[in-house]
Amino acid sequence: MSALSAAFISVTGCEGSGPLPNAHLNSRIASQRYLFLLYLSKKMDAHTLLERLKAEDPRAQRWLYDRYAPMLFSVCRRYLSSREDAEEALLSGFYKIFTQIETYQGSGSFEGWMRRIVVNEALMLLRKTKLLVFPGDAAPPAEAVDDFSIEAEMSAQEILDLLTQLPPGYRTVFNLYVLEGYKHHEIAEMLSISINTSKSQLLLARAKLQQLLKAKGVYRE
Amino acid sequence: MDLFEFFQKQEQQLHEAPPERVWKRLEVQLARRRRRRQRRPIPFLSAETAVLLLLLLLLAAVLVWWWARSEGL
Repeated sequence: MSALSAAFISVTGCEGSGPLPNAHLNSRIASQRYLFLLYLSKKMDAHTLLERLKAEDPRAQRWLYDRYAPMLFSVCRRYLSSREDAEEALLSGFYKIFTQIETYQGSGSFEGWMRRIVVNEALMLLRKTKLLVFPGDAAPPAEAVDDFSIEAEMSAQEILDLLTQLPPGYRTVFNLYVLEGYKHHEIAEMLSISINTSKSQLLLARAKLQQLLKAKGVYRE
Repeated sequence: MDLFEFFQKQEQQLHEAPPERVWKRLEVQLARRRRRRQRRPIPFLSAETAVLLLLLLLLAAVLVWWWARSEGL
């Protein structure tokens, strides 16, 4: 089952056949469900949805935006400290998703494909603003031993604040390695830096985060 | 919990709906693109290809006229 089919089923609660579930029209999720029920009522499935996206159907585009914008906006927010820049990256990312949908072959995860586009847009914006510098290349720190533990719950805003306190170079490598799952050689290629720079930025990011968490009293030995 | 693991687990918590103005701007850009595509005489032709075809037609017409004149037709 493709990622798109899974998303389709998770929103609609059905697989495109049989009786339709009742639509609750009093929330944002319900409106997404309603849109999908419209698709179902016309006997459309995830494959057809992709076809509609390729045909630039505004309803299909709106559905996809509502479904994935919160996740992709959080990706932009993690890379770009300014909210306006994050909105800009999301906008150009979605524009590319909609206009380059033909290039999605359906072999990999659709979510992963969209995520890669948005990450690239965020990186492009970072480069444009000349914020993407990598300090501390010369002396990479020794591998940090993580014998600490986090002992408190943190809100989304607190976590975002922590990430935005990191210098852009540390934050970018941290995001790519820890949260997107890229390897150091891939990061080095994406950012046109050496593998050692990628590794050192990650260690510096970890050290800085430990320091910030200790200052907050939530990270203990 | 390890620091990296902590951030990986909290990632979903960061999901946040963007302001509606982002969609409004995107909608305008997409509508503009749709209009541009609809204005094309033949939808699958890009503007460059259309200009090239027009130039080729013009060249063919000039050649036919020149040939007809030289043949005294």
